[in-house]
Amino acid sequence: MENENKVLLKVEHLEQYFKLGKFYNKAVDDVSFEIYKGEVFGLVGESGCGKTTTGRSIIRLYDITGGSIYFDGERICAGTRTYKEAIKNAKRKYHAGIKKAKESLQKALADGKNPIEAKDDFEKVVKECEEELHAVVSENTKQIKSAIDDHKNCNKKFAQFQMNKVKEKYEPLLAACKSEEEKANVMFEYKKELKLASKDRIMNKMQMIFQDPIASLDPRMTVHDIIAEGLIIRGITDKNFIDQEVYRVLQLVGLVPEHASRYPHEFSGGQRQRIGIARAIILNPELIIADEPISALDVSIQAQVINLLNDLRDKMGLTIMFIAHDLSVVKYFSDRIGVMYYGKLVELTTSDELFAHPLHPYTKSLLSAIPLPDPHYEKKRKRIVYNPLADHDYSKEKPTLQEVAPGHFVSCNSEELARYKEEINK
Amino acid sequence: MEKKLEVNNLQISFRTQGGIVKAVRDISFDLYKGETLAIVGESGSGKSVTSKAIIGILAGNSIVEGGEILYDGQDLLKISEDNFHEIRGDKISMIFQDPLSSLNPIMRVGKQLTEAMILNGKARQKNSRRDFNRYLKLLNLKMDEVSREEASLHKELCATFDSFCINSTHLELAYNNAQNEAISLLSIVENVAFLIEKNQKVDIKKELKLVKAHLKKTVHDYVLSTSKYEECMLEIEEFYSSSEGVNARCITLLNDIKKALEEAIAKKAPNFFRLGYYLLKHPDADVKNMDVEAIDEQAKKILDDEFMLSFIEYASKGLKLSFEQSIEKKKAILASKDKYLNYFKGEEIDSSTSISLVKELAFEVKNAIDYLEIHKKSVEYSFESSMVQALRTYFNGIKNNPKNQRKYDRQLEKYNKLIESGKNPTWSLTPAVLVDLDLAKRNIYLIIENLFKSYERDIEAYSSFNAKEKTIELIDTLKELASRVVYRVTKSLAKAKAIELMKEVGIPEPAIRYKQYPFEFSGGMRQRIVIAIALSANPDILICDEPTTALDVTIQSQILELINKIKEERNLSVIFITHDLGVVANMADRIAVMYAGKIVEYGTSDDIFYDPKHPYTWALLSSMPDLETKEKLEAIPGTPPNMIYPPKGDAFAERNKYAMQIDFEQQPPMFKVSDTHFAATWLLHPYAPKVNPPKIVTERIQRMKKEAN
Repeated sequence: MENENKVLLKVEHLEQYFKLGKFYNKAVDDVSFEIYKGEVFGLVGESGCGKTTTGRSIIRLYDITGGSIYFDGERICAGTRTYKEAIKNAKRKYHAGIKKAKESLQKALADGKNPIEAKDDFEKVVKECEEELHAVVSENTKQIKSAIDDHKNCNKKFAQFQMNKVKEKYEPLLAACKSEEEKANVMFEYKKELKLASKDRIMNKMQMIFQDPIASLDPRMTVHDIIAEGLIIRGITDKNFIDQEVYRVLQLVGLVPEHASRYPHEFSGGQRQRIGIARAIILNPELIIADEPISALDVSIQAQVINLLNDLRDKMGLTIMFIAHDLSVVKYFSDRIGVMYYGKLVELTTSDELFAHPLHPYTKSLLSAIPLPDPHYEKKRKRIVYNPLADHDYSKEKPTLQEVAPGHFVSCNSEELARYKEEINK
Repeated sequence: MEKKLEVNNLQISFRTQGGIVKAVRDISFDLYKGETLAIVGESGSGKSVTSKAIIGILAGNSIVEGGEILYDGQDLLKISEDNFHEIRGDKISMIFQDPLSSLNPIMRVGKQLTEAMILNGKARQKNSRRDFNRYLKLLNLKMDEVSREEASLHKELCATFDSFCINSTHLELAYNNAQNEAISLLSIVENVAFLIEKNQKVDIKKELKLVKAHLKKTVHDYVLSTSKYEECMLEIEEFYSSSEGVNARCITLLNDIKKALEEAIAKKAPNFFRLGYYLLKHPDADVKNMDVEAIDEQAKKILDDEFMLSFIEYASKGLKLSFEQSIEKKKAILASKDKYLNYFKGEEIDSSTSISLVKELAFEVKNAIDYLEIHKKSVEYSFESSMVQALRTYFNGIKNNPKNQRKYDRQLEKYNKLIESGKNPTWSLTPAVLVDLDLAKRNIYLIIENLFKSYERDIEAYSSFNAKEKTIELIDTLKELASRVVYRVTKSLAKAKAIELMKEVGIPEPAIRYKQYPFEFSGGMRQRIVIAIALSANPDILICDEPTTALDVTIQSQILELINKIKEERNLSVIFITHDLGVVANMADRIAVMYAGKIVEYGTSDDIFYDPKHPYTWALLSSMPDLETKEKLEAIPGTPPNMIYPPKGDAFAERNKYAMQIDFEQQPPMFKVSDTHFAATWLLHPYAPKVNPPKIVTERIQRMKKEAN
């Protein structure tokens, strides 16, 4: 791959909490990874571990709680929780400092030291504390402001950027025009493109394929309406162009143009999923988030859909984030795989490496659960049970995501890191 | 092996607006006790319809065109809804595909779990008592027939058997309860100790309260003795007295309890059947303080000498008589067999004659049944109902076929006229609803022929009849029935069992979850609840309709292990329906691959995975990637055929790249590959060209074989 090292999507310390009465449900807790251009990134884990939430947070179906997400170098999502937490901590620290200073002042006074000197000392300490607090607060408020700004206005900024591009393209053309008529023509084109550019969104570069092909298609819209909806919202009004695009995409996903006038219920499961894929690719996105696109389908149809996604990836140069729980499919389809467990990323590496040298006990347990079409192997297969309490001792040191081998990240503490390194070098 | 379920020539269609959809077309299979049969196929291949027919919940627009499903002497397609209540859920249970729609949204999960248990428990008690009495009474009658003079002795024997059998099961039940309680308490204690060792937050007071409550229930002569129990309680009281070093002391306390429990579980129990008789004869014997083995010896001697040997002797005489009588009658029926066979084989059969003939035969068949035989022969029991049904189908067909044909012709004419005049009709033609008369007639003939064949087999088996063996079998059955009579399901017991089941299927914090509503569960959790409900009734046959399709790998693996474990423990027969061949490799003893309403390949799991013969099986195997797959997947092109117009030849021919001309013209018969392996493809015909399976399949099989060695 020529652009192997170009990062398309970067997720930094992503946190997505849901309020549950008094408490928070930490659906995604401090997850960081990068997706390179042109690769297929698989995300696996058991149900309820937050892999779908991660996908939905990236495409901004939720407002994230903390962390930031960069797409093509542009920050598209940002949460404020970490900054707010920092301010809270600083305030707490400040109050504790003041309290301590007051106590020492009283002690000094009781000991019979010079009251003026003691007071001076006290004020000096207070001032130091205040300065510290102020620095932290101002820094973090700035961060919060920029985060909110980025979060709100990334689409506007992108549209502005696109408009500038159009302007740059047309200004010399307009200047080169001689007759009034020619100028009017160019002006017409220019205005049209400008209008289109003003409606361009960075989020259009990202599309999602949903899990359930039955529930994700509106039963009262024809296939044509479903697929064309994105284009219409995008601001395209040319009917012929829309028809053309719809037919092109339908053929791309292996359906025929006659299907456009039908309703979703007239299709089989595999065909419905193809419609879902057609809807996702009509805006020529760069990144597709496929949220378990095949788990609701029959095995024979699954193969069709995977082959289709593979073809599209070659034809359109797509980058795919593939969320699934069927490990043999993920292994077949993905270049790199991240394993999630209860909202945390526990292992991240290339797919071959993951299957050859699984390090984290949860990954091992996950791999031991894959069923294979081989009765003899199946009779011998022993499932490894993962029990976080028994397998880790995190009473002294909390785990972080660390690089054990080049490109192979595991969530562990320093003691485990040494052990894993030994294991991988064996 | 004992056959649990037999499906013969089953054909089911659905009446829809577009015409009649032929969902299941002539399939047959058997299910043995304690085995797993997997039915694999794409959606729409008729696998779910088959399972729904077995459990009697076919949709209203279904038509059963022919065939039979035999279970426990009954044809499930013909018994009444009232009789089905005793079977559905209790004997045959089902795990459904969609957990969302199979739970009641406005009922707490706990109630849904225990509802069936409580209702079934009551019904089971009643039915078992009825069966028990019926067997005993029949036995008594036959004994009397052997020798009239000893009638009073017979009566006494039966009465004694009744009373001590029930008594001993009471004793056994109490022991079992205490034992189970001890085992579950052991796991609780181990778990708490583990959590404390790992410095997790544990509410020690609450846990100890729980331990105390459980401990009380484990007290039993042969489990935890009263003195041991008091010792443990004293220790717990002591623990509360001081508040220093709570954790360390708690662990030692728990270890002590653990030790006591382990000893209690390992304790040997006497044979309760013998003990029951011993206690009946010596009500004031001091069994508590005696050695277990000594009691066993003594009780056995007394039981054999005083009762068992004579009971077996008399009973075997009665059984033999009953068997001989039945054989005599069967021979008499067989003597006039040609009359019936010739009549129903003939060209013309007449409604009134055939009905009177069938009634006459059915009466004699009913008389010839040996009711003391435990393994009920389905052909005899369901003969009348299935005959009447088959005759009705046939004569209705004769009556209605011309009418329907005329209706269709009129419609066709109208349609053609519209086309000719250049209009495009907005409605579509509905094909005529016609009964296949030849098939219906063949069905009638087959039922009678089957009956006679089974009679012939019975008469052959006469020489090897062993009355004593049969008697012991009968006594075992009676014992089993007695245990069911005694086993009572109370509300609290049901709750405890439900919580245990929930834990077994992997639901954390079952006591809290017990009170929640289905919407508070995630998809995987909901599916586990459904599985727990299906298992709660202790079924004979468990039908799993894609139970793990909605779950992820770890849970799937857990659930499959769970089903396997329960299958082995309870000697269940499982029908496992799925579209994923990978899942099946671990589970299935035998596999049936279905396509378009027919079984296309049938064999043991080794046959199907290591030596597949049908192109559809190849396609299924090659369309799923495994961990080594690198090349492009071979997807099956196209979609399954429309079953309103089933294809004339092999249904898979259109999607099959190995299809030959004959595949489009004629349906392939089942070719025999080996004794256990059958496949319906023309490729197995001796004149067919030699074709190798796709590369991806052969390579995988080679690799698998290499790894196995």
